[in-house]
Amino acid sequence: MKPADFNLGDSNLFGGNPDHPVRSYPKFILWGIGEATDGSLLFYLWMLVLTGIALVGANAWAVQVHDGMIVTNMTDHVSWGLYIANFTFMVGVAAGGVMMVIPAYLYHDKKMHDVVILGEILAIAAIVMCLLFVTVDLGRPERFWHLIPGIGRFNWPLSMLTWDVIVLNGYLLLNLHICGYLMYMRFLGCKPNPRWYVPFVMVSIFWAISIHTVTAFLYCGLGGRPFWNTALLAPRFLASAFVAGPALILILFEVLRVTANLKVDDGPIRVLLSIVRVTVLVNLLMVVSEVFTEFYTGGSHTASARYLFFGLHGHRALVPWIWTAVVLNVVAAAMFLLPVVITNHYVRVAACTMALVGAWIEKGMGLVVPGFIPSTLHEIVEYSPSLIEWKISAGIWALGLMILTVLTKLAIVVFQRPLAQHESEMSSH
Amino acid sequence: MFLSGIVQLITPQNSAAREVSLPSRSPPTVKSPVNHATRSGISTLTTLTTAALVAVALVTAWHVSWMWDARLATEGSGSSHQSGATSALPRQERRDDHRSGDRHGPVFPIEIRHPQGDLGILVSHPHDETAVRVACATCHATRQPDLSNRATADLTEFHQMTVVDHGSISCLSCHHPEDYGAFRLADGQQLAYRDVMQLCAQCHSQQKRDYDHGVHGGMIGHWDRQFGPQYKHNCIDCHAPHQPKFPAMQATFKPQDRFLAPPRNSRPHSPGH
Amino acid sequence: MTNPRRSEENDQVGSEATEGRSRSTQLPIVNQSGSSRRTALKIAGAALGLVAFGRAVAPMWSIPENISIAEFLQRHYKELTDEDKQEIFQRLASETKTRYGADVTIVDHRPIPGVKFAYAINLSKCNGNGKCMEACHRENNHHRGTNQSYIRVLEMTKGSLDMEHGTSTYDHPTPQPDKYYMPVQCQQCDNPPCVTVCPVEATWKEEDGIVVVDYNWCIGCRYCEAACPYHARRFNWEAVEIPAAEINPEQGYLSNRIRPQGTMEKCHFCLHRTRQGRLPACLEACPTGARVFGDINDPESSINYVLKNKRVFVLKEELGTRPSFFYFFD
Repeated sequence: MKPADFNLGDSNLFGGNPDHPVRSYPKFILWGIGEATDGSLLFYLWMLVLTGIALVGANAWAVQVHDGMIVTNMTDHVSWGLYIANFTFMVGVAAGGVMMVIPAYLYHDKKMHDVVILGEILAIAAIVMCLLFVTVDLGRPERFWHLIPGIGRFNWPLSMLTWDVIVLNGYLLLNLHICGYLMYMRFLGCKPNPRWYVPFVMVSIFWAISIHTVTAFLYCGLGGRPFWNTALLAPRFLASAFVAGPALILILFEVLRVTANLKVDDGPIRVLLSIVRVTVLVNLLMVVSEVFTEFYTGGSHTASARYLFFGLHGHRALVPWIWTAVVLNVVAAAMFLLPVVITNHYVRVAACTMALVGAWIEKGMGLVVPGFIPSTLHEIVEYSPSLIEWKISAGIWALGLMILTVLTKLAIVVFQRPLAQHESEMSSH
Repeated sequence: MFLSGIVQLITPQNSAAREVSLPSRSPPTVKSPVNHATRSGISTLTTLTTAALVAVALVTAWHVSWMWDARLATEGSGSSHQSGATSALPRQERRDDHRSGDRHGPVFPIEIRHPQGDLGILVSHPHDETAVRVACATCHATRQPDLSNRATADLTEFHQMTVVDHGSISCLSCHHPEDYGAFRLADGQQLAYRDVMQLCAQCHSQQKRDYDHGVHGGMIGHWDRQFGPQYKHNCIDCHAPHQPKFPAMQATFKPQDRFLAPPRNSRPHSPGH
Repeated sequence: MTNPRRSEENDQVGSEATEGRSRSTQLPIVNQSGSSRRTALKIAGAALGLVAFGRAVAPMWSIPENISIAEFLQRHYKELTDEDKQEIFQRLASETKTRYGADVTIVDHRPIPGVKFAYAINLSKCNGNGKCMEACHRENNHHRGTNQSYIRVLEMTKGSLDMEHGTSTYDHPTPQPDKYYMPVQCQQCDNPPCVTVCPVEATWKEEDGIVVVDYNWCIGCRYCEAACPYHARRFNWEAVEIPAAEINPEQGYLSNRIRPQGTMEKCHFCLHRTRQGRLPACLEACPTGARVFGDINDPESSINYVLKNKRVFVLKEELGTRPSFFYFFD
């Protein structure tokens, strides 16, 4: 690697004193908490609402732990529901952040480099949500320690779930390190030492691919579930992740433009849009080829697909969901192809929201749930989430948004303060 | 359960299970311990000496097994083994036998419930309509059989209402014309009521063969008779002799999973759907 | 990188560090504490939030009473010594006494050396009467509310092995003329997908072929339930309810003891019976004699008679699960 590659502003500033950062990092975090919790009335209102929702979720979870999973609408037939659906989607969002990292670090897109921290922050929030969604899905959450290698019994490498535990926690640590290091260095006004973050960034690129691939393997390795048992699942997951992640970041840009008056350069927006433009089509193509294979072949293995798209033997609970997703995805794909999506904020946010909701349905109600319907004995038990499930999921979303808000706020503060001079320098280049 | 309380020890000469199990078990008695010995680690010993030792052990085991069965065969005529589940060797001892790899050491018997009493028929009591069992010999001891009668419809006095749905056989295919308390085998031999299985087996040899191998008629007790005996029905416990087809039943216990749809047969769908 | 460059860097690093340190002291760490009113408000808000959180999760506070420290810290079954087991079994028995009012004995039944169990069902005989389900329900101390059992009997359409044409909720006299009946329970696969996917090794296959669950180790992720192609696994969605009089007091740690809420369970071939030479409860209950159970390692066993003489098949053979559970026709 050429040192110049990572040289943003002036090449005089390199690395940090190895002693200095370690000693005062806790101080930085303390300062960060203070700074990130300062804000306008709107900010406090926003956080208050999120806190309220998170508390409702916490209460619902407590009820679920106490009364048992019977308070959910999951059954022995549909044994995974809204939680795992959200988990799958959030893994995608976390992985999607890498679509900012690749242009920034592999293609040295300087403008992207300025905002890449947002992608990494999004990954942190998303992974925390993933871990929470898995935790609330456990029947015995207090036995989580059985999963800790060394103390418990970790069925690695056989169980794909153990792989997921490794890659998700690893990705969280990687991004925590990268974000923490970059922000701290910027806080100190130092030029970050590439040695301390570039290798991690490179690893995190592959890691991002791996978290979603492993999550797809979780499903597609199950021979007893023909709906999931397809080699196309991992590519499909990645494609929809690279729709959902960038779409969420584009929405985030717009939110920041309005609330924090943060003007993101057109460059990164164009890059992200062109990525989504392609991935949304690739995703649709893969969905179409899946659907074709299922329906043209026919046979009993297509029962889940038939149930999902058209209903089976009078059961059609998921039909509205999937057609909503199909319409949203197709319309979003069309909108992304229009040039107006670059110039018009509203069109862009609308397209991103549609793509995001479309991906959410497609991966949750459109993939996790129909895998269980009909059951392996071809019994049809339908599923729609219970109120408790919605509450808990909303609570986790609220918590995730809180983390995203606080970290984004911190990043803006950190990057705006000492960066002022860098930016002026850079613009003079 | 429907088999409970059936403890009737077989007699040696009539024992359907014994007749089959004794000869069929003897040859593998020599073979199968090798398997088990092999599995328990003796496969590592490959010298002739070991082979010889194993051979001696096998012969001993076979001998013990034979002795044990012989002892049961002679003792079994009485009721001394009616509580077979708790009789014989203490459990720990049997387990040890078992673990030594000798799966064909002393075993408990297969105990078949044989028909009790005299061959008879259920008739309604004239006063209170309750069913009363009347021995065939009550009437038939004094009546001459009419060999030309082939079906209940041919009869003029009794049994007209008896529905027989058992192939094309006639009454005297099974009932003995000279002794209505007994059966008649195809070769004319008389057969006691309690040995009815032998009668059925004449035609239903496949079922009998399955039965003798524990694959027909069900059982309770032990799959491994080194731990305890096995109790089995006879043919006419489950199959009414005149209408042997197993009766229809109504499932009374159904899963009550949440959200499980109502029976699909209420809205039938074609297989081509 | 060359040496001169590196030394130059080091210089820069040094100067940068001092610059950084000086700047960090200028940074608004001090300023923050200046607005003490705001900080106090924040701390108050955080405290309020914590209290609210405590209130929100209040339903969980009763749980520590239900879960003893000993249970929380209990090791995996395979790591337990005999003394550990005795202690645990006593604890479980006394818990059963407290919660259900029944005196039970819990035993650790081990496989009989050299034995490998197999099961076969005669589809020509089974008439779908469901007695096996009922027997399983009673034998294995199942939750009474849902008629839970490890067996599901499917009414299948003759001429098809496709379970799409089957139903378990039939409610009419059986057998129907155009139907046959197929009970499905754990197939005790030799290549069990449920064991492979379990992240904590809470389920495994024992030497006699029975796939067991350590109910005190299972975390309840239900991955095995998703992986099983035979719908053989059941989750304890709620605490088991069962009248004391109906509790089967002869219990095995890995089999029919009352399962804790939030864990998986499955058919274990009644190992508390079969490992003592007895027949499984479902077999004894079958009025049609359709069920055959035995040791597949014994060439003279009834199960081997079936395999050698009948038209045998296994369910979903194409999945490569290699079941120890066979179906046959006469």
